[in-house]
Amino acid sequence: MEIFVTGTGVVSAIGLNTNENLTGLLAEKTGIRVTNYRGEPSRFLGTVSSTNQELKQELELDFDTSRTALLGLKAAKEAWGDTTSDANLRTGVISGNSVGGMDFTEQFIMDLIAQSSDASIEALFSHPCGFSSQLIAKELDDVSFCNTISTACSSGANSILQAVQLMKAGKLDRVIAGGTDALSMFTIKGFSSLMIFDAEQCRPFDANRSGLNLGEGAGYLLLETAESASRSGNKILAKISGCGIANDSYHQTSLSPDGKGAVMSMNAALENAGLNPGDIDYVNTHGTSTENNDEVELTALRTVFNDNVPSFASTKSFTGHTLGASGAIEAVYAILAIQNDQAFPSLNITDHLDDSYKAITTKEDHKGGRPIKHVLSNSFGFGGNQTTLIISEA
Amino acid sequence: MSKGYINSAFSLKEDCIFWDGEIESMLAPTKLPAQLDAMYKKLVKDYPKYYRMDGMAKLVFILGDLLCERTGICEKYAGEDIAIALFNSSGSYPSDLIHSEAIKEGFAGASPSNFVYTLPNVGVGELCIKRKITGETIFLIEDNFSEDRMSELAELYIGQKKCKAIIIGWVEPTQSEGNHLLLISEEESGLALPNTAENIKNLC
Amino acid sequence: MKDELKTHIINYLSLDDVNKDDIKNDQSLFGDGLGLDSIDALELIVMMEREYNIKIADPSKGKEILFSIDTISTYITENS
Repeated sequence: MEIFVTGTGVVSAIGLNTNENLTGLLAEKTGIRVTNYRGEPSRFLGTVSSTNQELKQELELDFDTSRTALLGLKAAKEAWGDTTSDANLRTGVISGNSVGGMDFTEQFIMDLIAQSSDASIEALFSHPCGFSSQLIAKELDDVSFCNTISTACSSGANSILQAVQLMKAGKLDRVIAGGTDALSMFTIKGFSSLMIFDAEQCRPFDANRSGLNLGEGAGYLLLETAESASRSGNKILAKISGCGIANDSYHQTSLSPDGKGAVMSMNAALENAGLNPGDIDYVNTHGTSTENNDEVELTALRTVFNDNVPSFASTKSFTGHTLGASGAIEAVYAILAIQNDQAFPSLNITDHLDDSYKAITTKEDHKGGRPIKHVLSNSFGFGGNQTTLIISEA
Repeated sequence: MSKGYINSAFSLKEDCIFWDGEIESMLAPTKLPAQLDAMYKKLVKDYPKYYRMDGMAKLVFILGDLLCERTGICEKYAGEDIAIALFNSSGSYPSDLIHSEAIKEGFAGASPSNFVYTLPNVGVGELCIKRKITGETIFLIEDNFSEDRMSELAELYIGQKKCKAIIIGWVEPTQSEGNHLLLISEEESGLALPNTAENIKNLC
Repeated sequence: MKDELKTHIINYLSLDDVNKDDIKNDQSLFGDGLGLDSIDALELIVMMEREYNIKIADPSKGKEILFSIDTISTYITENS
């Protein structure tokens, strides 16, 4: 059974919808800026240029809620588009995030300490990880199944993977699948304690990279079976041709030196898609810009592709690392790459990690300008989660 | 499509340890973290990294490791053929709380080791590291324990040949009323009960 | 100081099964020595700031400084 993508929604540091994100990617300009977050020391962050009040108004909500939920709902609604209600189709929402409504809870606590009249205990309703998924399910039509996945930075990709599995098993006909995460003090201070930030703008696959920049955002796909797409009349944009997942079983946060987990997930996805490594035209890497990830991921790519590595890049150089949303945002970017025959580059490289295997730094670098029919997208999470999606033209 | 068979079930309820639906032993009536530490010292041992895990990771690690030991599942199947799918409602609450308190002090307050555990799937990762499990691992958030959801997911994984065996369960560290792990595989062994919601409910 | 250091290390890293006497002063704390890893290294950087007011801004320099009880105590003495 084929699983088609008939809708995309994305909000990130480079745009508030799919078209804006495409424009940003084509312009090869990063959305990462020096930003001050809630009185923290300024640092490079990929923030979305919409305030919570603006999002709330646009989404016609009559209550304040967490930014994770607002970003998620905006992107999910874009992916859903004008799809109509259909009682004969089993519709699901599967969404991932890492930090839930923590941003709103933090605001509540600050208001409480300041004895502000803004402090409302109802703020805590949006705290749980499942809240944003449930809000999306409530706001769309006919949703009979809702689930939340929490596997760190592979949450968004794993939501898409779960959706594909459930649809292929005949349990659901269409799914809004993806992920969302907003910034919070919890996240920023936590990553700060891991000493994992680059004090400058991040540079994935650069020899002198020294860490990541955090970002926020949301990405969703509307996935439909052929029957569902035929009933909905939605245009088919692409298909999820393969999924692979494995556990690196090496360390809580670092990847194994030979990238065995990543090799397993990529090979599993290729097998699932019935494709050979040579069929892949472009790789959207996990590419966080940490010393460990980029080195290991390149090692794994060389293993899987037998040193004949296709064009590869990290779009986290545009958006920052959006954690639970990243795998889903990058799935949308994979679809844009296919639709536009464009391989989006890695920004900010001065010296390549490996001169024999260079990430593409402009779209013109894409090998032989070959058409982009199959994109492989990696997402790796703490806890050893390695997930690979292969997205193909339909 | 094969639904799979429940081979074994391990439950921790208040101060009782249940194996395969029967009480096997009692624990001291202390809080869950102390109970887990006692189980580690007596039954697991020799894994120094245990002590830096948070409450959620300890729960997953202890239950998972004992289930693997009892069933010999890691000797029976290759690591890549074993999957893990766990559910709870509070994510990684114990370490979330510690981290939230710590960051009030600024950078010097945040514990990097604790922050790592503010992701519920890291506990799963610990089990994978010890037992060399490399198959699909996933962590899902649900409001409540659902035998239907568990049975369906296990059926999906076994039936679609995503794995040959799956460790599946409910691990909620904020309560001690019931934490459960089940081993469901394609083999009609151990308890050899068909994977149905009813059977899961009876065992838990 | 070395005694106090060992106590701090055991507490910060939750080395519940390790006694102070188990840690030799010149023993490598990482890898095959005491078996500490990269997360433990970060935790020790927090310890240095909290207990000794010493900031280690570069984690890779941290590896040299945090090699053993001897190297840590030398660094503390030199930087207090």
